[in-house]
Amino acid sequence: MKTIKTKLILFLIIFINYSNAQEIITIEYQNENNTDFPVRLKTILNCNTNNSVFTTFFGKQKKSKVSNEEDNSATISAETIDNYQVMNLKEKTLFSIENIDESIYKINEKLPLFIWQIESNETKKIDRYLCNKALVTFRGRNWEAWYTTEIPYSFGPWKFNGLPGLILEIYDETNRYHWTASNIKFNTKGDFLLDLKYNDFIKEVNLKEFVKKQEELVLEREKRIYSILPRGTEKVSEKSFRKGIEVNYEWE
Amino acid sequence: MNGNKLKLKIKINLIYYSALFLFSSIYAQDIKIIGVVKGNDNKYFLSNVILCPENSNSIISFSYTDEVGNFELKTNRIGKFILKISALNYETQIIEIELTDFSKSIVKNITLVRKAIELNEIIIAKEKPITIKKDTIIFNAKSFLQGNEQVVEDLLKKIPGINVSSDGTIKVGNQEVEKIMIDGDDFFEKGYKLLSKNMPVQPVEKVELYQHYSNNRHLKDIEKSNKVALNLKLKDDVKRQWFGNLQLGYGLVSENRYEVRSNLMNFGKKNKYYFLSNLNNTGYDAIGDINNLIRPFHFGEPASIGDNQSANTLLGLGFDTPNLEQKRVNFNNAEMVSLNSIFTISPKVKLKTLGFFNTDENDFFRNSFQSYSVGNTKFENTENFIGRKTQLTGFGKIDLTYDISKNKTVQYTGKFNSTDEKSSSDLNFNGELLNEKLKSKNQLFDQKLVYTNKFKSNKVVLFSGRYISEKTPQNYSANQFIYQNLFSENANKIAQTSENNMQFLGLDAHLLDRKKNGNLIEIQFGNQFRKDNLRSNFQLKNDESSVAEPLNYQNNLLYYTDDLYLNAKYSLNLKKFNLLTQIDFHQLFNNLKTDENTLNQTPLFFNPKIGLDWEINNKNKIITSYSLNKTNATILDVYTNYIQTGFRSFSKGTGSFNQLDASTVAFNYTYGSWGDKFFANAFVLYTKNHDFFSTNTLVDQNYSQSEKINIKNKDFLTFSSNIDRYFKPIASNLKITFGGSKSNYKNSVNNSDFREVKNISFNYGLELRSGFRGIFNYHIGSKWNYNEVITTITNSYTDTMNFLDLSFVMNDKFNFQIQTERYFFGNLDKQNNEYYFMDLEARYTIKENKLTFSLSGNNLFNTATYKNYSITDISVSKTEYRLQPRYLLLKMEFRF
Repeated sequence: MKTIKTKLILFLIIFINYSNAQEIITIEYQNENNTDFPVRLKTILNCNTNNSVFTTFFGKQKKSKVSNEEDNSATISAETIDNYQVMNLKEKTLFSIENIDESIYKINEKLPLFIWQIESNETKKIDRYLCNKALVTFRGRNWEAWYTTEIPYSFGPWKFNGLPGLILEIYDETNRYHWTASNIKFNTKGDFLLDLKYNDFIKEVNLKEFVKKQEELVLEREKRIYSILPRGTEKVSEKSFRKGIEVNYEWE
Repeated sequence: MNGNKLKLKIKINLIYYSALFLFSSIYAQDIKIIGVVKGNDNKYFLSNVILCPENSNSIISFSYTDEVGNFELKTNRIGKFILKISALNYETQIIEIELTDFSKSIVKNITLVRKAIELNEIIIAKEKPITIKKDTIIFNAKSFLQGNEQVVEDLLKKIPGINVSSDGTIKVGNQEVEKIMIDGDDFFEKGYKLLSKNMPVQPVEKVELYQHYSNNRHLKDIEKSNKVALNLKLKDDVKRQWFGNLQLGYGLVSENRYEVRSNLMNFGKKNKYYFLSNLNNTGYDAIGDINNLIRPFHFGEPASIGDNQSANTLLGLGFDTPNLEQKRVNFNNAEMVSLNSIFTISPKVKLKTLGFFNTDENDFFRNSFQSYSVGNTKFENTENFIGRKTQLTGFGKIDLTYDISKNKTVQYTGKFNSTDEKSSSDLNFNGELLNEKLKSKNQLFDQKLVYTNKFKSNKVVLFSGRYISEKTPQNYSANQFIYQNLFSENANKIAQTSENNMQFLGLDAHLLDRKKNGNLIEIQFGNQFRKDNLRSNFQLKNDESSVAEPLNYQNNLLYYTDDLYLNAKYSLNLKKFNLLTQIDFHQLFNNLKTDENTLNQTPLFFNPKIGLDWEINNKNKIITSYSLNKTNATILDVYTNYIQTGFRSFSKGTGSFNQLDASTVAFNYTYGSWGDKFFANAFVLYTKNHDFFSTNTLVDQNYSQSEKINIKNKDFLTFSSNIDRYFKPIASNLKITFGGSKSNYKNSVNNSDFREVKNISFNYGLELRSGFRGIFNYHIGSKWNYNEVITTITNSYTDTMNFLDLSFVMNDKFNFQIQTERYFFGNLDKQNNEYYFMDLEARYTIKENKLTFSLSGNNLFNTATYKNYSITDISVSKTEYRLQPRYLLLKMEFRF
């Protein structure tokens, strides 16, 4: 039996080309990611003027299904591959690489426009950098970003872009998602090339299709788990809500 | 997609710069600032141009330069501003400008001075609202409070990663928390909802989440644990306040029914109090509320020496109840109060106390008909039984913990229990009226001292010592003499006093060593001494005077067992295998003293065990084990003369020492896992008792007298299996269960030769449960149960149980469930072989965690009695029990 692992070999190679003296900077963010279990993930942003590749490393999260007979509880978590967000400001494109169970998707979407509120007097220092505060509401969450104009790249973690400087810290108001820069490397000069190699498992979809697929799966799993419960356990109320980074979408 | 490989290349070309970043507000009347930025080395590069008000860091407009250094910036404001131009490897330049005229464009050409970044790498250190240490995540309560939180649950809902379900179950990810502690102290264990739903949120400073949690902190990282637990750290200047909840229930349109439950708490930094009470006559076991406080059950944890030691009670009045829910069959009137406290005497010393009083009155109603058939002996008995039991229990427990240092702890636990039980029965036995009286007492005194030393990060040693003293005196009398076939004396009453007085002293040293590769070595060395004194006195009486004390019905013996043991356990973790090997050496010193003689015995033996867990792949798992186990005889196996154990039963032990050998093989196979579309599990267990205690029984209409005998070979085989299959089109899960058991042994009845007894049983069931998203859900199922006993004759029967549960969740505030059940007994006559039950539970929440009303309807069909059918190797019985009649209980629950 082929396990998911053998299918999910993805390579990310950043080639350094010294002939072009293009400034690339590499920022490592600590991500407190709290969708299910509070975890700290390593994330890395490579960017220059127009292009960025943002990687979230899920590498160590193993597929685990632990059932506990003492209290009839079960923990199910699916394996997640390293996720990527790749942006090109010039061509206004954004795609992500994510998986649902054993399928890998390349998810295309139009480069989202962030309407940042930047007129704030609030500043704080993050290490040596004076950071300005900016607010934005994006797909159902309210975000607070701290960016520094001293590093004139308009990127940040995940899909965030469009500020007059690099985002060093960003979190949503519930603190469910929180990125903080922990390491900045300058002068990694050269081109970079994202080379994704995988077998024919990758499916190219648009964001709307992907979201639909994902929700169908969650719904199905919820039904299944409720229906397997022993007698005497009752569902007393039902609230289902999205708890991912994106809570609602433009088309909804 | 083209082909098997998809390559994406993003090439960065340095020539393109574009002014994409003009997101600042653009109005009809804008002032334009345009210009060119270049370096003093004549190079063009990306730089940002920012417009700020004078003396402020806020940004009102910004732009980026393009590939040849051009920028264009717009604003709709006038006044004095500064223009800030930054680029990597160049010095930031600040230019003051004044914007006065909307019609004019301002041109600013800027040259930046090259200044290469000295550092190639910057490492940023920063404080965060969430601190993650290894296995501990600390949340600052302040960072997550939004102001509208009332109770702890409201705070936990706001904390990312912690999920609170609508019934208050708290999960981290998908795993339920083990407990919620307050400053490391715990009253509630899994009953934490009492805390989270009632405790005000203000005193909480930090919420700590522990992963891989161990109840004994020194065992962290040594024992395997998937548990998670929460700890609430209180503020240092916390103000004491009393809080809690009250549940009141009263019967509507029915006789006097009530349920009162209250919880009252007060937590300070130093002392914590928890007071609770429960009064009910709805069949609810009041002590159940505090069971986990009395005996925190931590299965398989070290330092559990003596946990399995208790004194025996020998005689019971036959207060058995059928296998139905307690609320149907328990006629009670319970009152329980309990006070619990924790005192932090110093940062290293903590005292925990618990005490409760419980009184209960239980009534029992049973009519039974038994038909015996053994060889040529055949007779029938009818019993109409009404019984009453009143019980008073007082219990106290003290835990004293002293942390000598970070790695060393001494813990003392002392327990005291006193139970007084008075029972009586009115029994119509074959037309004869019998009145029984029984007084039982239990006195327990239990002391335990445990010293834990984690002398290395992966090694811990525990020294435990325990002393238990327990006695169970019983006083029994019956106002009829029905044993004319046993005793020739002229008597009209009987009486028996009996007492088992047990003393236990155990010392144990336990070393646990978790190797780096995950393998665990455990070595345990100790000595357990137990002394039993069993006395019984059986008298035949004529009115109040004793007529005779039959010789074979008196016991007075002392039984000493001393077990010197060394256990070694090794668990080897390989990638897909987990191999457990264990060997226990025992040197026993047994001594049995009766009035007549003294016996001694010093057997030496060992018990090996081997277990293998094999995860073949993600879907297939096998767990299997084999063990050879020799057990020592207990006082109940060795006593020499008969003791009365019921109104028509007597029994006695072997009068000599025995160790019994048994081999056990177990095998479990799992396909898939819980929550998969298809999930199956099969379990088989086979035990061979190389020798075992069988019985030699004399059966007579008015008595049954059985004697333990030690014979060879008993086989027992049991299996169970279940399959879950989810069907997507109907959003329902089908569960199929199939199981059974078979046993084979020999016994002797009425001095017959050894005869073979075979017990066979099968059960199978089908269930279908929906997982709909809407208001309505159903759960329907049937279970069949077949039993057969084969001796010289064969008896068998099949029972059926069907159920249909409907659930309606109208909204967040209102939901109700209806449960119906049908029981069918294949071997009972047509008038009495079918029983229907219906129960209703409705709940209406007026304000969450503040006020809730609920209505329970019990036994809505008002089924008055319940009769069941059972078989043994000598008899067939039909027993009818009285049930709690229909009632409606209106309950109110509020927090104060």
